[in-house]
Amino acid sequence: MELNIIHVDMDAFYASIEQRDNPKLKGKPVIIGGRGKRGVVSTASYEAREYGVYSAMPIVKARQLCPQGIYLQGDHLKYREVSGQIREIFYRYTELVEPLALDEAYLDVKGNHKNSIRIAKEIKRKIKKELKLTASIGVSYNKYLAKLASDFNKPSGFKIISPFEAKEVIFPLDVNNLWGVGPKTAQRLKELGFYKISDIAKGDRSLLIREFGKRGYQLYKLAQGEDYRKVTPPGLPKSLGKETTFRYDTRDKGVLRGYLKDLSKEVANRASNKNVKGKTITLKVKYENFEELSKSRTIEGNISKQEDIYRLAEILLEEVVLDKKIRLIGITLSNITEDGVEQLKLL
Amino acid sequence: MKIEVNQKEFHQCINTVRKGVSTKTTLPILSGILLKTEGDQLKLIGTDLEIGIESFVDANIIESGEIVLPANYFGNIIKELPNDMVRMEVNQSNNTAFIKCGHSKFNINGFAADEFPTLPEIESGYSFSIAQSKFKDIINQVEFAISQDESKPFLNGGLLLLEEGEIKLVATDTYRLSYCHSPLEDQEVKLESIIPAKTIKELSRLLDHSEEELEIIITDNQILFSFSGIIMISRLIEGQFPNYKYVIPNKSSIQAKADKENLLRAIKRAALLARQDANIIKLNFAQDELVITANAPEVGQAFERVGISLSGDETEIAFNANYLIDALKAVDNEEVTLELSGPLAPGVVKSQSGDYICVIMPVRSA
Repeated sequence: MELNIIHVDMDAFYASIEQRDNPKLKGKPVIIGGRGKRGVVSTASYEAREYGVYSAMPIVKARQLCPQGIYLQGDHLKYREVSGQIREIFYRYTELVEPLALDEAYLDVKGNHKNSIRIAKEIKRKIKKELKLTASIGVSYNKYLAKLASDFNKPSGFKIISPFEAKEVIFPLDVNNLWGVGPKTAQRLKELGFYKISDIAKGDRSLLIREFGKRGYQLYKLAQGEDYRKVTPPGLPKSLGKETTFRYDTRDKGVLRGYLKDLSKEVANRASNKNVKGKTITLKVKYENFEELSKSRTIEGNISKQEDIYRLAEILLEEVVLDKKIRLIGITLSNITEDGVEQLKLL
Repeated sequence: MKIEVNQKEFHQCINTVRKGVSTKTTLPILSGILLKTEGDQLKLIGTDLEIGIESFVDANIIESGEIVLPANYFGNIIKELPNDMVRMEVNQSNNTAFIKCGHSKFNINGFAADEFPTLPEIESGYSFSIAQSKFKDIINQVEFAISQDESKPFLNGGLLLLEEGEIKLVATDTYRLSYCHSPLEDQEVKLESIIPAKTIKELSRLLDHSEEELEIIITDNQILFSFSGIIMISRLIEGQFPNYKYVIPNKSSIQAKADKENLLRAIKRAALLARQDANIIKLNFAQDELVITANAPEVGQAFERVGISLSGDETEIAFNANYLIDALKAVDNEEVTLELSGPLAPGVVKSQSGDYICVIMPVRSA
């Protein structure tokens, strides 16, 4: 069990980028999120967190808690670019990089002869020096513990969990610190008498399996500090999708077609960036009463161009009953293949 | 209406017309089956206004009449009844049917028969006959290549051609084209029409392997099939079907003959390890053997060898395995010929007799 797994988690990523690029924002509560009544917070700077603002909170609520905050819509293209610069630093040390989001990734440095702790420190230093941003880093012998470690003393944290101290670190923690345990599972675990991770580690394995099936066994293993998931660099995406919520709900086909055209273009762009094609187009709509509906069509050939995506999406739109207004529409391209192979056509 | 019908025969007849019944419709009456007494028979019709299927069942008619009953409920009730005499009595005033068989009794609500829309009657058209089994074989050899791409409606059916004293059926999804032809006696007109995929599928299900005649009548926009007491009327697809003659290559530089069954089995096995996304297998033609390989990254590789007799140069070509499997399954001879003209040119699968041809485009790999 070597300390080969590194988890890097950027601190208040979007907000920190904005503060870095605009000195006026330094030290101020900066909140990035969707504009409008329906938006939610995507990142809050540490200053804003002081006011109780956190991610996924409706913007409306955030404004109540922190009226003096600086609210920004965010520039995702920029964040994506910075994320790419960070990944470029990772790739100097290993090919085994598994990004979880723009601001978070696992690295497996087993192929690098350098000491993993030294690599982790260098990465932290380079992110600071080259990009003027701070990251929290966890180093351990598996993904679960590395992620737990990076979360330990944010921001700008650095924590190592070695096999010798793993149990000591995780045993006293609440069960909701186990990977994959949400509020529901946590509640059920507590009903069964499992409060702390140590309760699970020392608990009845067969009871856990009876109660949670395969996941019960996994929880038992995680509680021992064992996690067998591998760091897997992203392969082909399973699907490429894009959806949009309208400013005003609508049932006007012309308006909907307009949105479909834009979405088709975005999906086509992403397909061409990733150099893939797909066989299936799915159209998703959400009605004003939040009812959801999706329709899909699979064709023989592979498509990736805007015209082709739009053509199918439009056929699918014809099948959607517009008896209620629609608040969201989305297109997904799935059944993805690499663009390298091409089924030739007769006609 | 008051009738008595044998349960088994009733069920069979319902099953026949039920495929014509519309499954998704905004017109509720179209989800029903029309029942109408005619002489000493009961006539049943199901239609979605694209296809209509009509069939008869012998009945003891005590009182004549007609009604439309919901196909789902009515069909399932008759299906589950004991094999006995089914008595049915219709109250024409409120369109309900009372069904009794053994100790079972059902009351179901229907619709007024005079509101049931039917496809226009075929008045005049070109008429010809062919043995049921013959037509069933032709359909089965061609059907799989029909396109499902709704943006090209003229490809969502099979092209039926009468020309040069032959009957021909062609289908293509633009990646492959299947073609079957057979001589037709006393046939002198030239005629072409596109039969919808659903019609072809239901026809193939209802036709049997008998030498009994199938009568076909074609008009400008409809086609009628009459066989074994069943009448099926279908709308035709409008539009111009591509000219198949330009698609079928008239010469090739490489010909390989193989035992169909051996080749089909080898391809099916190799396809087990074809890359799941594109189903690609590679065919390497050498003088006396064909080597088929497949490679599924992370899973493994497959290697198959099939004896062939080759004329022309050795070559390698990649295909979607499913296309080859479909084409080979349709070959009804023991020997099959593969004709190629290079790795990016269409490949042709031909039956020994030459009645059946399938043209398949290869896959270009990076």
